[in-house]
Amino acid sequence: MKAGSRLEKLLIQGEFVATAELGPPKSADIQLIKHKAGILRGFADAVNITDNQTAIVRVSSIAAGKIALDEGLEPIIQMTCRDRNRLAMQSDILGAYVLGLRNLLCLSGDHQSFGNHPQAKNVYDLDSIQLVQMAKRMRDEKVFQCGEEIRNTKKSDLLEPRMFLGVAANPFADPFEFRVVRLAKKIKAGADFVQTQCIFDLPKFKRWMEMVVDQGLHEKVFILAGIMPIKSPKVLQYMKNNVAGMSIPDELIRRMEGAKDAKAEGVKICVELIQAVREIPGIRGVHIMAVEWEEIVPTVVREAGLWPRPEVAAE
Amino acid sequence: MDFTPAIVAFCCENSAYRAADTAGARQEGYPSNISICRLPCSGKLEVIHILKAFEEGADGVFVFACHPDSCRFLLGNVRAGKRIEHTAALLEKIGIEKERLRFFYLSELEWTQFLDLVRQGNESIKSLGPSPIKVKP
Amino acid sequence: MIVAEQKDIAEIIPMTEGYQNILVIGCDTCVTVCLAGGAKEVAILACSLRLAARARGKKVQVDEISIERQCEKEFVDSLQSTVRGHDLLISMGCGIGVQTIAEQFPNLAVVPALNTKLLGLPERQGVWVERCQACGQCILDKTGGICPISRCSKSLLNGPCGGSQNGKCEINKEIDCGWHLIYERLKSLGRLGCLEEIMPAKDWSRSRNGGPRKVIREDMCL
Repeated sequence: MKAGSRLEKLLIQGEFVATAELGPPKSADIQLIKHKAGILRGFADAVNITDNQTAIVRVSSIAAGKIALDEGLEPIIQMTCRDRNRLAMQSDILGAYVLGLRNLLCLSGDHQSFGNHPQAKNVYDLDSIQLVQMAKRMRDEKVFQCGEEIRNTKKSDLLEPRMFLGVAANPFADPFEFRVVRLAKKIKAGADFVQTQCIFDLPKFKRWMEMVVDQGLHEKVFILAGIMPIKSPKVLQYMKNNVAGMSIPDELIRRMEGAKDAKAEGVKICVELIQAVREIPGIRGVHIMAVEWEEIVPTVVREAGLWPRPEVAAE
Repeated sequence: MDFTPAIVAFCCENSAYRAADTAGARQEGYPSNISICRLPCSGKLEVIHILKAFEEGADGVFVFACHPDSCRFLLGNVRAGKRIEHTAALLEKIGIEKERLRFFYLSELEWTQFLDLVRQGNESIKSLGPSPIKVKP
Repeated sequence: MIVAEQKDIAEIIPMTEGYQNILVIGCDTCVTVCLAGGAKEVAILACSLRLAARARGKKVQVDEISIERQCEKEFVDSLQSTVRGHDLLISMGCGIGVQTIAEQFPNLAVVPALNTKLLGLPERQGVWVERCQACGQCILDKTGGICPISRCSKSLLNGPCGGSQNGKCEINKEIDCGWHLIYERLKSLGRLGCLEEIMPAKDWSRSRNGGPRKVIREDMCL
């Protein structure tokens, strides 16, 4: 056990985990955080708390994560390299840990040109791989990035933040052959679990997973397949045209277009994808990314036969 | 108000300059207030030449280039077109109406069109009045 | 070379407000090559300013000169007699040129006519692209001669990120993914193995983050 988070325990226990996502609000709206937490409670083993996703200012992931924790969720704090330098990152990792947060997802972050402050100066002091490496060293070697030990004075105890470390992997970005190398690099840097970009192109995902398994990477890291419930064919078309690093088959768009009830069809597709990825060797769970559609998660989880969620076994 | 504008017409020697010559030879006079400036190619025209013309007191500047795909130097007319566009925007910001700068494509044979264009151009500059840099002290 | 572009004339005109004797100074080095601040551009700007003043009913003297290099005191010093009688100097040099002139003529107002953009090269006629950010610690040996600091939108050291598609960057389909270029280059060199190594966190103190930088060659100092 590295961090002892609930997510880590369930994965070690061999459960097929289900994680979800909670996007913090764009205003000081604590009620919305609690409301979203209430929807997800009991339907996800852990919940990603996004960090100014798409470079739009929102309640901080750590603050929202603490509220979610108090509401009975197991948060995964997302941390991007866009907005913070290594000082702020380490300080926030310590801060998140003392608040009781135990999972950290390390990301490069969407470029600020996508968001509501394109005039901002970005940071990228570290990249996502260096961030994982730093967080791992903080946990396992009990040192800061500079090499200094994590303690108050020379005589005090070492008190390190022990985070269960996650990374993202995008099997659909280019160059395709490099994507497995990059995952291996992230594992080498210290990743404990991986959440993939949302999967619509199942054959391509399977090809990627075969390469992952060939290299034995599935035995070094817990891989959660990214699944996104979609509301309408328009959303799919939009992502196909505008979101880099996505692979969306036209056939799927046509299926959504042909559906009488698009939302229901979206859920159906989602459930089928979950069942399909569950069969792929090396997949240890799913990450359900219902972006700004948290209320659908319980339905998806139930229909995919993933409810009720397991408990951590007594030691 | 009786106003005779000073106009400079930059003409490519492979087209408009010859058209102007033909017009002259046929005794079909064009307005005498238009000074023709011969260019080896419209692409030889620089931004500074246009600005200098205005600085020296021009009320209007016309630029004649060969038709698209007919430039003896392949892209001289394209360069001229882009430069004119750029200069027009600059003039506007300086405080000189961009309508005082006109750009035309013309071939050697189109001498009647040349006359029509300079006559019409002359009228439009007349209606704009004297160049703003001349009006004020 | 240093690549700059001229500021909009509408931004330059207000800088000249209240001055009567203006000298526009060009630089014959980088900014001449990138068509931003050489003798040709000096003539255009000076003439534009004269016209603009007259269009506004003002009388202003605007003179022109261009010197070999604005970034060296010796060359700037050659302006001593020329600047006499002027109350405003407009530099068409890069940011270094503007400051060298300001240092050499402490009692004269100096304003910039250019925005200094990047260290790069002309890609084709009229297009210049960035190649270096002067980060102070070159890693081109590890990246196949392609700089991720200047060519990756996020300056990642362990790219390409998940936003790389068809060789293009997620922020704009016009921008090549720097890391894709690195990948292809290392592949053709048979050195893809380089990418399996984790590139450690960069020492940004050697870049701008260490404060204003200085290069000292002791053996050359007198």
